[in-house]
Amino acid sequence: MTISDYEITVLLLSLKVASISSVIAFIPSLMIAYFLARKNFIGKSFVDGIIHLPLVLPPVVIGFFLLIIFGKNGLVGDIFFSTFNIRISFTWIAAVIASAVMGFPLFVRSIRQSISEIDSKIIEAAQTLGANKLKIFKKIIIPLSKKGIITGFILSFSRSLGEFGATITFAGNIFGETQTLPLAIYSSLQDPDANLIVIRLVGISIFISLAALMISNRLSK
Amino acid sequence: MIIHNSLNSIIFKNYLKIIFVFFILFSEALKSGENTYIGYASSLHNVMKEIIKDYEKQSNVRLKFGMGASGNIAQQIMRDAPFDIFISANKKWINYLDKHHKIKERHLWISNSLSLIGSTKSIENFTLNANERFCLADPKIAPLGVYSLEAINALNLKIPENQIIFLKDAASVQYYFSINECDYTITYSSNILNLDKNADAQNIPVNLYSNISYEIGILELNKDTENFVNYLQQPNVLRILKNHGFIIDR
Repeated sequence: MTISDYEITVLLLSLKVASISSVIAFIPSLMIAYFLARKNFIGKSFVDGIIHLPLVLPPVVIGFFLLIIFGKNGLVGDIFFSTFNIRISFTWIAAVIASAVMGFPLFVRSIRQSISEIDSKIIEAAQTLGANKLKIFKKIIIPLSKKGIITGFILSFSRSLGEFGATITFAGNIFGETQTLPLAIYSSLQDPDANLIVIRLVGISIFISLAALMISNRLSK
Repeated sequence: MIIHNSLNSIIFKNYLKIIFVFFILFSEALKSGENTYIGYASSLHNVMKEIIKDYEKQSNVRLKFGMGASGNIAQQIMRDAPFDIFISANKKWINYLDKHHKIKERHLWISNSLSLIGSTKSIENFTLNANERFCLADPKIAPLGVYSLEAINALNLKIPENQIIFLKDAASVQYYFSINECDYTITYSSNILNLDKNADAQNIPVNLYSNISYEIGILELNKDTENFVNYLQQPNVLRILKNHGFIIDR
């Protein structure tokens, strides 16, 4: 069985969008997970709620919000268009943003879980030995929450591979630009001559997702 | 905590009963065949809302409807979606279903024309700047896309491939144009009236693309479907369609 050029384009784009969006989501997720796990502040539950919105809202609603923010008429989109002459919506960057936003709560959740499991005594001991906050973060927090970071990365990556609603609303379904695996499957489902393509794309989709899960299990052991 | 635990045990002990009650409650909603289901091309959406409302008022019959690209509805019917009537924006998708013995009766209905939206220049002098976008309906499933490509070829419009955005149906084209995500588009002339802003529209001569004729396919022949299809041909309904910019052939 050989893989066609069409399938390669779709697959590579999906992997590109999923990996870039996960990498982009990593630093903000780590920061927010740290604050939620270690700090108490006013409005914490509100921040927590906002972060989890992409998990509970219909993805199409997230796509709509992104369109309002990053569209040509949107708050951010307007600035980009008038200063740099760049349009964000309906580009692969839009697909990355949609994926990053949808994967964000999963990333935050798993890192936060790991950070809150770190024994406070270790951190206190480091403090008495004179380590500053940055050093504690780098030498204790990050190494000890490695498991959560890896799980979060894989979860966000897999979420991105499956992202549909927000992407089709905000980034469209453009072959070679924003048509990721689920969108390609959706398009092929509408085309009476594409039944075989659907089966092949579904097969690729299952293979990639299973591989991601198996790698995740191996890494987090 | 005690309340919480006892609630849990009630739910746990009566789990099967609860499922049974839900099943009974919602099985009414799952019954099909008692309603008339209509699937139609998305370009008809605004006018169909009006027609269906009027029809329900005078006949006391409940209609259920779904809209999308004609090709999309046809695919749903091939996968056994329970539509009784299908209105397509071209012959192709009715023919397709007919070939698969899904259509019991077919009627030619109304026509439409195309307009280029967003350009103040005449069609002959149309040009696209580097950062502008031209939105089109996806020709694979939306008849509008097929007609639009025919017109673009006949007019010899030069539109770089990377500046074209294909959208799923006529309704999406209208929506994304209305929020400025598309600078130009080709859409049905009947849809211009629904655009909120004062869009610049240029009629595209009808000889440059195939005849846009809507066709009604009846999938389930019965009194309800017959009555509704007859209603669609009434002079007062045709008048509503004409007011929405459709072309009445007779």
